[in-house]
Amino acid sequence: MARIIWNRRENPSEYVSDRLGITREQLGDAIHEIKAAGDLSPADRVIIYDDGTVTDERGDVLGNIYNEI
Amino acid sequence: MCSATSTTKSESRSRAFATLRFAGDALDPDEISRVIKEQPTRAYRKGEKYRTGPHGPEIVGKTGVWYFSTRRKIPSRDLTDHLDALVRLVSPFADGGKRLTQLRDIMERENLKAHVTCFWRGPPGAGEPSIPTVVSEPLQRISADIQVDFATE
Repeated sequence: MARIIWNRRENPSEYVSDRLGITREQLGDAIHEIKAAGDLSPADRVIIYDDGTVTDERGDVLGNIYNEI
Repeated sequence: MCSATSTTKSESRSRAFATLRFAGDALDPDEISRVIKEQPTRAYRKGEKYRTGPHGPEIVGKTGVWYFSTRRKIPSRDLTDHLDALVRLVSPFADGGKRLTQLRDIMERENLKAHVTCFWRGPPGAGEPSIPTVVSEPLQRISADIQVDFATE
């Protein structure tokens, strides 16, 4: 079962990219794309799981970081 | 005005892209594509099930979205080049404002919202880019809000 590795409003830290095995640049690009394609603003909070899943703050799935790399 | 278009030392280490999306419960992605004459990066209707790639489950569209990203289309590190590409989508050269009018009509009829997002990452100490009026003016004509995601790292 996937575990939450980020649940804040600001941009994810290097810890998150390290956990996902990707660069900070890849993570930043992917999160921006996922939020915009999910009709969220850059300032909206998302939750990131260790399998790359990204949900909004209600838990609805928006996408997966690995799909955006 | 926006940052200079010449490549500075800090710009050579920066990254940028921009996105345009139309959203609303009544949105018909094919109608937007027909007017804009460009395929979206992603599009779905409200209630439509879709996948974003091989990873992750099916997602159900909470509203209709037509979404275009310049990230894999425009190689420039200058945000202005990315925003120019979005402006050309909604207001092509020698169009006389026809496309803007068509989009405004659809947006009004289907109660759609337009959003532009600007992504920029630069090295520590670099000045953030700004949005030139030649970009913001045509986007304002479709009532697009412009959201920025700027940071240094």
